[in-house]
Amino acid sequence: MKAPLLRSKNTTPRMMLNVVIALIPIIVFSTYKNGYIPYKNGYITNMFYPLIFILISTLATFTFETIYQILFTKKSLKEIVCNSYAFMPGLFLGLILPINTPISILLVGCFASSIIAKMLFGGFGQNIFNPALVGRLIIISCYAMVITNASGYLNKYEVDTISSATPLSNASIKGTINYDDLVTPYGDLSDFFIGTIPGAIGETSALLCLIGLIYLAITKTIKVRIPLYYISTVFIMTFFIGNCELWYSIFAICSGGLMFGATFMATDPVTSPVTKEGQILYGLMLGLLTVIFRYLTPYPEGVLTSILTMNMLVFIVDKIGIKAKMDGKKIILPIMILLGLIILFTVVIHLKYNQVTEGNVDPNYSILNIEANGNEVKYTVTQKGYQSTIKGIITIKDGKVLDYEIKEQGDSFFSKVEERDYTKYLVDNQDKLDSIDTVSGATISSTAVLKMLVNTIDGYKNKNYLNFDGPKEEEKPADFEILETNGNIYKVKQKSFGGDMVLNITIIDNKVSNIELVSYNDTCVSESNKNEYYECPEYLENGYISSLIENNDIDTVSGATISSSALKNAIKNTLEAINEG
Amino acid sequence: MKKLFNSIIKENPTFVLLLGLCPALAVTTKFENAYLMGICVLFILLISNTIISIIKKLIPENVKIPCYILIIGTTVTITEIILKKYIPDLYNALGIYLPLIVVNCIVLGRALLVASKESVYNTILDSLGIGIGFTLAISLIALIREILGTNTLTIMDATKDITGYIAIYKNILPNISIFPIPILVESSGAFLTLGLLLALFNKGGKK
Amino acid sequence: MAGYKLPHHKHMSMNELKSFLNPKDIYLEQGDSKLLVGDYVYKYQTIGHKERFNVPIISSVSGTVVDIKDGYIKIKNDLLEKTEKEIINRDVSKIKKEEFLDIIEKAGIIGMGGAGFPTHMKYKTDKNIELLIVNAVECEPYITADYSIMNEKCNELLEGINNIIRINKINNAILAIKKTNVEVIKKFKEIIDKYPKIELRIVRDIYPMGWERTLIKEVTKKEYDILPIELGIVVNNISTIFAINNALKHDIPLVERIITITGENVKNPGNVMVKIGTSVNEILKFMGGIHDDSVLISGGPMMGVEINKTDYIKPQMNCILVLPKPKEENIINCLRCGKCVSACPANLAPVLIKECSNKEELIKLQVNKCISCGLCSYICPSRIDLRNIVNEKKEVIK
Repeated sequence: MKAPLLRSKNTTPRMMLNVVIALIPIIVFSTYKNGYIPYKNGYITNMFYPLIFILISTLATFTFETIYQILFTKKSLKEIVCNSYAFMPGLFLGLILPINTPISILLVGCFASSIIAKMLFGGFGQNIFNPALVGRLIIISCYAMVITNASGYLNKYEVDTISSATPLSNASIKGTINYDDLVTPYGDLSDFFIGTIPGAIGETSALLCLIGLIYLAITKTIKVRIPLYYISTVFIMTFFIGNCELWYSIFAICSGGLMFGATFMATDPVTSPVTKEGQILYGLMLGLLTVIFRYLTPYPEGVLTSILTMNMLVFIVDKIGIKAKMDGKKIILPIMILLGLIILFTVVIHLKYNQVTEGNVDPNYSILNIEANGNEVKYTVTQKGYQSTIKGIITIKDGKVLDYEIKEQGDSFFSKVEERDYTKYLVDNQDKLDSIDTVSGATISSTAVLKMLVNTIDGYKNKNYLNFDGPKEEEKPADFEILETNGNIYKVKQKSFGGDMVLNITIIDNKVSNIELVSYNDTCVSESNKNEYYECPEYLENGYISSLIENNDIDTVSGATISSSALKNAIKNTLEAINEG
Repeated sequence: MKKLFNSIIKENPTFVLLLGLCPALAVTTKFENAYLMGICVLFILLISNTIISIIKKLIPENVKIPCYILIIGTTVTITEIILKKYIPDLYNALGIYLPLIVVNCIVLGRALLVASKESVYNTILDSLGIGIGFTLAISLIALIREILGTNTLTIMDATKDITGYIAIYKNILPNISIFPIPILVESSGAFLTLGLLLALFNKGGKK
Repeated sequence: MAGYKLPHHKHMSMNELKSFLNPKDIYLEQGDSKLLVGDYVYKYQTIGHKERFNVPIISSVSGTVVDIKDGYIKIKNDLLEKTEKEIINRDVSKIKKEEFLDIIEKAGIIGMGGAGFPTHMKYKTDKNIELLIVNAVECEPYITADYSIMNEKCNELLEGINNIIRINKINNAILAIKKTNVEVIKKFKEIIDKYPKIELRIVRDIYPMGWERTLIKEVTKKEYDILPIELGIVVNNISTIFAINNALKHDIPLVERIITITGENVKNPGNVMVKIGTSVNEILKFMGGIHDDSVLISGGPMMGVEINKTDYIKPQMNCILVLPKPKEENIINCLRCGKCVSACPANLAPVLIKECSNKEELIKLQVNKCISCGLCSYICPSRIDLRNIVNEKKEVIK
């Protein structure tokens, strides 16, 4: 039987052309915003830089893929150039990167997009993950610090005039739902909609993405249900999270590259479901995941992570979709489960964000003591960290932070924060606290350290040292307890990583003369290779205890592990308890 | 001889047979750890498979596996004790993965497949080949991970007590912004390197 | 229900009905016929039975057998139109159901919409038939044979429907016409009040509305499992109704039909009444000839089969389509756009069937429900031949 001789007029080349046409206004606008405006104000010399950037990334992916196909597949050159649409990942990758990405890193990202995410899976039509997003992910995980040091997402004009971070990182630092905090630093809501806010090259303009979405929907090029359900879910969830205020939902949709991701990245035909019901589930799940990643985790790029996660699950979604297509009732259960999860998470995030009662104060932050000596104010503050409460002492004089010291903490990976000399880094960069990066591997701990400083500076600006009630009773740390006293030998219990350790400490003349480990529940992390674990006594016996004894000033003894911190804290607490009588 | 080359290239345990991946990902953060681990595995393979091959007729069929594990375990413990005494830094660096060689798929798999069936000479050749192949493979992974990930190359550090030399090279790569790539030091980078090398090895082999 | 609106191409053949009733030779299937070369054959004579369903093979002209080869009998028309018996005029009101079944079986009446299923088997049931749906939808592009017969003979058609429902004690009948056939609908609306049991239903212009399942769902909102008779429904093509009526009234078997000769490569496209067995070559010459480099299709452009000039007209052939040879199209990898899934009227997913080779998975994807309507191949932007691929996967299940 011969194939049907009628064929519809819609062909794949035409669909790809439609996508490129939808992207052209976005490219023009980004050249205007990131190239022409800084050039006009004298900040950069080449006003076409964004355009060149996008062109380089397009050509790079095209070249990599063509070379790979010439070497490893048996196709003819004409077929490779015409049929594999090698330039598409590059075009998208160029639009979702920050403007300050160095070109060499861009090329690494292009390599990852075209070769790792597309060709190694089998070429056009066979990849599981969206190639542009994989490239972006590799760039974030490898080179985030390099890009942030080159001022990240902000172009040179924005660095001088707006001088804040991107709207979403600003929102996560402020932690409130207040129009003046979130929107006013960047203009007003219309600026968000048109796109004159800091962000990636092509992701900022919600208006142009909307126009592109309408155009692509009319020409039936993309799967329209996905962006529809995605954006509606985020809109409705943020509406309820933000106390039913409309501006907050619009803010949430227009920031973070959500419109661009929903229109162009989530609807990539190869990596999204084929069935109608599957697409509905996909859109709902994407919205849910984006809101969860934005509000409940400290990681950046919620849109990217949620799309990549759902890309993994497309084959399950298709299975459900096919079952639902053949028997309409089978779609009810998955949708009910999803709606239930959406409602649950909305309620959870709403409660979490509205714990704040008076004056927009961070509930995880508390001030223990303020000592004001003339111009110099010394704050003793605490902030909730990853597993414990972090206590620090911050000295501010004449509006500038002089010193920042961490007194106590009990987080597992705080060693990474100390290695980085993070507190000194913060003090040196105290003007740029909104755009500072956190320590990878100890994100929550370092965020807490950052927030403690930010909250203190805010309090200082509000002159809270003038009407301070008085030092709060510092509760006896339940971490430490003196069990028995036998002359000079104190049997103490100190909380450590895996449990409590019990020590016999001999103190003569206010100095430690002997330490004996009675019992412990720990495994320790060694200094030399932080991926291996040992039993405590072997390590602790290896000179650490003796160095503690020999040194008068315990704090100078290095040892960045929990158990060693616990040991130190035990000694300090014992000495303090003795001195207090 | 041909069989030896076969074991190294066509039946490379890491890249073709995909055996023993656990140490291949965990100890390859430093080049030195990797090749020393490879030499340990080679040593253990050689001794235990030879012993098994010699006494294969004496072991009854239904207690085969416990007996092999006993022999391998003994060899590993001897190696552990020797290393702890003479190269304590390496012992600390390898950590838990040294005792894990007992259940490493390479050693047990080769024991079941080759040592229990073939002659002693063949077994020795096979163990040599597999051991060398493994060493080369994980050394390659470690080379890439260390040079690209931390911009240093450690050839002799832990063995300084025996040999007396230290050979650590720093700042090998040109100073452009994409190096070093910190992700390669973490576990995700290990998988990425292994995956790309696998693709390269198998594509190249097939062509 | 899923489906797609296709471009019509029907205007080129919507002109006056012609007739070509004196072909030089006709070709009949041999079947189990015992005829030899030189035998004389009368018009309307049953010369044998087909293997499939034992349908009688009936000669449409009188003449002599000149050749028997390749399973075909070639009869030279002597243009005398000699019949064995006289044409009778039966009183249709006296026919009972058994006689009805006998008449239409002997007249060799089969489904003339393309399926070729013997009509008497549809009515031969113990179940009570509650509804007769007359399928005048003609959803495939280019074909206008049903339109033509409705244009000429609307009175006789309604009379025929009425006879059938009276004889078989069917409660009512629905005549389903596509909403774009405006003139025909007007003609029917003028005279349908005379027949209270026949209802005129206008259906949407979607392909494949003419498929039994889609039509029944559109008209009655019900779905059946294997055969429509489970719901008490019988579906017949409108040309078949005309042939049944002829057989009931005058005992004339199925030897003539209206066929559409159309396509861009035919010089004078249109509808023509022909005798069954006329060679394709003769009829094309009658319509003015065809251009070079054409491809001949029996049926519509979506579900038709390729034929060549040496073939002949069979009773279920409703169109001969002459199109220019299609150009080689560039086939690209599937990009999983999902258009085939949204277009499939049987609720299947051709893209997933294409990727799957496991037998159990294919059964779960219900490959056997595919009716080869061709919409998936039509709509695929990468020009992948999905219908053939699904048909191949059907073989895997067997």
